[in-house]
Amino acid sequence: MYMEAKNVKFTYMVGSPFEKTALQNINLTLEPNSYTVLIGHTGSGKSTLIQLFNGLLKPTDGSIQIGNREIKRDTKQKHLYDVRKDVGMVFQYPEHQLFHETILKDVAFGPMNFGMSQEEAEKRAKESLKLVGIEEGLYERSPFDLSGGQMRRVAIAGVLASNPKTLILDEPTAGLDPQGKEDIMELFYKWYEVSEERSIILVTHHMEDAAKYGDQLIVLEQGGIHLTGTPKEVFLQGDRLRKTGLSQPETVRLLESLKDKSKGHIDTLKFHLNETVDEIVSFLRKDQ
Amino acid sequence: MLDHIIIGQYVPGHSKVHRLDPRAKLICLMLFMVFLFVSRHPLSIGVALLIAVLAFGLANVPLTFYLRGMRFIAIIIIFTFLLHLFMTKEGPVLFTTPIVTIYLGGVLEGVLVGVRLLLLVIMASLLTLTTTPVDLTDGMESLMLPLKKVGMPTHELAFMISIALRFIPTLLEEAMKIIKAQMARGANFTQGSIWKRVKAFVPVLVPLFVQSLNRAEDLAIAMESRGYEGGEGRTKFRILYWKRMDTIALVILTLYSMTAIFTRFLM
Repeated sequence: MYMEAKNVKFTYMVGSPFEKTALQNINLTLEPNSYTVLIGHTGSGKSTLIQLFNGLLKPTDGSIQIGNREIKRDTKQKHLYDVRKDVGMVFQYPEHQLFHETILKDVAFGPMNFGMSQEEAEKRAKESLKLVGIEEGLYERSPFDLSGGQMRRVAIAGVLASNPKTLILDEPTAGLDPQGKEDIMELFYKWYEVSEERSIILVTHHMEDAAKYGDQLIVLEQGGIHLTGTPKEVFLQGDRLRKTGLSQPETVRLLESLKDKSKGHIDTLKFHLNETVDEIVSFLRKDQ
Repeated sequence: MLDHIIIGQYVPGHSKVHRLDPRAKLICLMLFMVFLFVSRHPLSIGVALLIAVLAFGLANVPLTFYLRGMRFIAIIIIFTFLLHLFMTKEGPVLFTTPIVTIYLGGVLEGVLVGVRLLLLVIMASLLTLTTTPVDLTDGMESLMLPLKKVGMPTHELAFMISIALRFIPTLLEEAMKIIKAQMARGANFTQGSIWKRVKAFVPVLVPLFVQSLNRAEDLAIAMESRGYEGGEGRTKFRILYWKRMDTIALVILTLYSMTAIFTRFLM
């Protein structure tokens, strides 16, 4: 879905001693079927920005366009509710939102809120649960009986079940083990590839994921856009990234230090393990 | 949605009210609350109003911030005012409509109760707005010290209160997060009948309870692993000092108490 931010400004708790401007002068375009990655330091405004794209917050100034709807400061709540139908959001630690007696009912909560019949909602819920890899035998169990990793999968299914066009992910793998992290990220990519209507916005501190999955990277710094471009364009500017307290993916760092030491001819912008190995091997061959 | 609740919030500052000894603030507040309801004489209420204005002026808490937090309280105050207005049937009739008759006594009673409630809330929230929870607990513990002689677990009590206060903002923040997560899943808290809206909060309360219990357990373990075992033989890092300002505040409140007693029983 096409999304755009025009001159967006956002201030928390306007008119109180705790007033704080979180975002300023934000201009962004997210094309349909894009995979956008937001990176930035803690407190750089990432969480605020994604809540604006989901209609959970309204901009203090400027406007947000989501599909053919526009959100401004005075947009009505009812209007925002419609936006959330199309934009799903997986929060940090999404398992904290589980509440129903059974897993199936919990996953069906979203679709039912968005006006589906119970039958239809349960069908959707089952599809999503299958996608995230929860066995059928567990459907009637309480979500609180599950392990942390499984709870996270159920919560993610609860968002996917509403069939959003754009999926916003706020550090969806925080606190998982490495294998679990990779599984979840692959799962989202699988979901994304199914239809050309689907887009993803990912917030992460994990540069490897940003490089691997994103086709547009946005680096936020102190409430403004610091850098933007494809992963290759962004990760080429190691110095500018380091200035904001961020780093390049491990593969790039490895190749860059090899290049520095050897003064050889190396393409440092490799994000996948295999590519990196190939680059090193070809460098070594050339050297001999 | 919930960021207008100011109970238990502390606004950092260095005003005269901020710097008062927490014990002085607690005693003054107690005196104020008790004697506010002792006398209904205009002189006594007037003095109370004056004290509130003075305390408020000195505290330097932004007015707009305060007013927003008062929105909910205002509903309660208006409701009690109306109740008294319509239910009191004393004094000369002011005017008559086919449905109700308004008596002068009703207006006076309504205003009196309204003003009292307002003053009560203003002064009580001023305490938490200008005192850090740690100071507040230290003050309470120190004031309860005489009760320790009769076997009251004063340290534990004060500690419980401080933990409760400490977690109000955390709980609010968490409630806000869960509300947002459920709103993203299409939950609607602002539309429909009252019953529907109340029911809409089940998906918020269940996770909130689960997390609170988990957190309580974590906190207990964290405290025990750092060797906490109650108040026995515990020394204080922060020591409270009674200053001249504190005596002055106490004197003002004592004068007010005397005014209240005088106008109630001797006039």
